[in-house]
Amino acid sequence: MTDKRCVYQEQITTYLDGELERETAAQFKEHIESCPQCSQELKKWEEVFNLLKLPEEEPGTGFTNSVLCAIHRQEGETADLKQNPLLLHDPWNIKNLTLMLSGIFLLAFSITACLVTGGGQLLLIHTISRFAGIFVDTVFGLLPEPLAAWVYQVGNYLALFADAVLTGIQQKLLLLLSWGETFLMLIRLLPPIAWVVMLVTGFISCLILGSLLENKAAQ
Amino acid sequence: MSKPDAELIVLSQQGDETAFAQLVQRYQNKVYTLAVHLLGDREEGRDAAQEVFIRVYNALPRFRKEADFLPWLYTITANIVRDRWRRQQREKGTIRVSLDEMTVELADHRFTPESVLVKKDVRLMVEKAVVSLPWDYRIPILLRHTHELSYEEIADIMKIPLNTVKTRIRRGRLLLKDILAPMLEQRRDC
Repeated sequence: MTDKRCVYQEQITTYLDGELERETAAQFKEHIESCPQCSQELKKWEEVFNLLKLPEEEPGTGFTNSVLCAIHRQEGETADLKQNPLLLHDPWNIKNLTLMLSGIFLLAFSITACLVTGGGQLLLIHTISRFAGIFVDTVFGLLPEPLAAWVYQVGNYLALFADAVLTGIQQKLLLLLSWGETFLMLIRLLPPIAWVVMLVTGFISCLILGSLLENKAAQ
Repeated sequence: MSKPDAELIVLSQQGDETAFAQLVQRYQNKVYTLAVHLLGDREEGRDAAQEVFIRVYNALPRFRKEADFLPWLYTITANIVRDRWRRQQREKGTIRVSLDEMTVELADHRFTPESVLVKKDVRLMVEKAVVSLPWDYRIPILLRHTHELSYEEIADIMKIPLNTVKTRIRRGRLLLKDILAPMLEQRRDC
């Protein structure tokens, strides 16, 4: 017995698809009636085609409402984003903001500590004082003689008083800022450039940490 | 009297939520059915269908009035479901049921005469067989047989040439015929 495949078998699925030309379809039908092999194959394919007509399914009650709710939620989030670009309602953003402020505080605190303890060589303060002195002298020079002398005298008293107050504050600050003699020693020993590098690194680390936390929250 | 799609789309574009709800109600079964059959999971299918309509809502302002809504909807569904399926594959590792395994599984499935008659069993086996197909064959097969679209419409939805659609459907059918053969034999014997 020869296992020769009938050429019409190639046309079965096309026939079932309704894609055969009218004339070819008529020939095909005629052949099927006389060929048991093709007839059997056609039945198999018809079964497959029928099985593949899977029924339409329903997503269940409340599907439309759940879609609308999801859209409302999405729109609410968008509106919040527009109104509050910092997204302060998000605890992760509050954390980032706190970290950033901490970084700024750390920077300011350290610079103050550096200047108060003399670690910063007071270059900036000297420059500001010199310019301030020149300005004050110029202003005094414009005043009439007796008044200038009087103002100058009062100014001296005030300066002495301010000096006393600032010295007191400086001592208090030193007391507050001192975390032990070792720390103060280190501050005095470090050159200003090392301070700047260290503080900027600390500040950037805070920002990177904040960014990492934000990414983690977004996942 | 229900409004035509075009009118509902225009109203939805103008922000009419009731009109959009009607559009969802009108097409939710089609989208859900396609998503479920492509993913082989009803829960996932429901989530995917919801995502489809959210994307439709967002994209509706850009929808051209003269275009057909349903093919556009099917394209969005196919894209979203494909992305979900890929994500699933990445998360699970590449769990892919080989055709041989699937055929053996179906052949080994002990159908009692009663269970053969239960349409639900047969339907589930067919769904499983469809999900075992390579992804590229799944969409055209389902769009052609379950959703009864023409080859041209499928090519338009999938954005691929007509001949590619025909080839994929032909190969998909041959695979399905092989996979379902044991079940068909058993049905015939009963």
